[in-house]
Amino acid sequence: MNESDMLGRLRDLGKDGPTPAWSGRDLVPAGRRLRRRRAAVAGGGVASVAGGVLAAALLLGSAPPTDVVVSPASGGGGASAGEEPASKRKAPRSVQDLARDASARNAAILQDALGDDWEIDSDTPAGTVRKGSVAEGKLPDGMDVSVRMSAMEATAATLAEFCRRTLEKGTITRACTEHTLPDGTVLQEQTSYWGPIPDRPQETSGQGLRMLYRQDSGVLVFADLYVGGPAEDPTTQRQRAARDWVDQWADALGAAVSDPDVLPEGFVQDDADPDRAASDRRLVAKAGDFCPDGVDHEVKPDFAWLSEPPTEPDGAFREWVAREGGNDAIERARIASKNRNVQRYGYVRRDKQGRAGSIVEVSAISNGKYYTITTVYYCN
Amino acid sequence: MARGKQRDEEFVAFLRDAQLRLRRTAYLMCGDWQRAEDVVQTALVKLYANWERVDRQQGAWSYARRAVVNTAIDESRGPWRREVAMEVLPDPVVGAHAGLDDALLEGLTALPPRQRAVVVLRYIEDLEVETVAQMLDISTGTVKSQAARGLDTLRARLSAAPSGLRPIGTETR
Repeated sequence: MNESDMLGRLRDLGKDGPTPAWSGRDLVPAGRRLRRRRAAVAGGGVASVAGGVLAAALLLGSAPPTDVVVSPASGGGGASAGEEPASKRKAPRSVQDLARDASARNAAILQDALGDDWEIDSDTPAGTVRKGSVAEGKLPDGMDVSVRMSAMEATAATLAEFCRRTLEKGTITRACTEHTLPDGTVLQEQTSYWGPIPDRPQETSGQGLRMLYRQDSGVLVFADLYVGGPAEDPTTQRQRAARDWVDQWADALGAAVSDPDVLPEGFVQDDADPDRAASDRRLVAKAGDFCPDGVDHEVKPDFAWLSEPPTEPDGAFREWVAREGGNDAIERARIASKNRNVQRYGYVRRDKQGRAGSIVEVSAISNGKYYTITTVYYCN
Repeated sequence: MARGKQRDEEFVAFLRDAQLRLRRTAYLMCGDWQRAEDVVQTALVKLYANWERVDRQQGAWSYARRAVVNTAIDESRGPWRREVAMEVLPDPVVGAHAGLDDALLEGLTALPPRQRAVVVLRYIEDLEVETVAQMLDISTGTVKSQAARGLDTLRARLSAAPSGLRPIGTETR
């Protein structure tokens, strides 16, 4: 058989399959569940590695690419490992309950701070401006709005990392400036713009505002508000109007992020920790609550890969090098962890079999590549 | 909520057109219709969860296809996917053309996952080298070399196939 025949046959392969017994509608419930689970995750992951990159992703309703849920330190889940004898500890609540608690509570705080012109999901601190509201009426035509609040345990270094000026793939994020609320609270304000830049056309452009506040307890809370629409020059009147519209919410967002009742939904491990094993031990120590009394963690000997390619704000796909393979990716992550762009996150989750487990997620951008790997721990 | 309903309708409408194409891509990646269904459904659930951030005019198809290919690659890595226990042997091949197609499919699914993805995307989905490289996060040079190796392997397998599997009228050197 010559090559042309072979290619012709290849092209005909699989054209006559059995009729599928399902339709897109059958997948919607599972899709909704996945969506809800992701919405409960702290806004860490992608966002905190490159804050600017998150801009339009949030506008378009993104969530971090994990299938997980809640921080073991999110309150209500008992003391840290070692604080109390295991026998005296209360039975741990389900991670789903903890996730719901933190997300719902933070959602209510965000809704209260922004007011009735906003429609924040009841179980997720994210939403948009309410259709027909006064605030919506003042938006430039054709622009969409998205807001989301995230909270996680983090170091001061993490806040500094967030606050850097960055230029990444069409998103310009300015360095933080101090913002003082009417009640005297001082927090960090960071503005951003995304849109077409030389040699990088984009389909959308818009303005972003991030308010950041680090609680005394070490919980970093930040809220992102984005307004965007079809791509246009940043100096247009519409973009200036969008900027003004976004900026008017700085105090309200600031009030939300500085609310002492905000609960962390995840935690960031020490960014500077170059030793993976030591870092993992820290995770186990921190996440020690979720296993039933007297039950230790077991480190799963392999890695669970996040299997979804996240998208860039302009619709292009992120590079997903860590998917290439186990040892290779581990080594890459180790290398990446030596540079400042790495972040480590810990979460607690249940897997499909209902087993509780914690994961540490390592996300890094290095040499323009985006890496994420996940280590899974299960209760014995 | 109205926003949610609209999302559902858009998603369902997209799948009306895309479902069979995506399933075929998955089938070519894994060589089994049931696994293909699993792969496509897994990928599509993710697509639904990300629906707002996917550009439906241009990006949904490309996102979905990429998710299918990557899910298929991931699935093929799991040890439970390497061997399939069957209580009953599959039906014997009927007809020379079916035999040839089976040999081709068998050859295709025997390729390493990423090489298989290159062959499927490049020669069956007819994508440009650059697009394949971007989808699989590899260089264009790797796409070319993997494609060439994949075709060589397929050609070798077909040449080695029993003559009964060759269609009448084709070369039998």
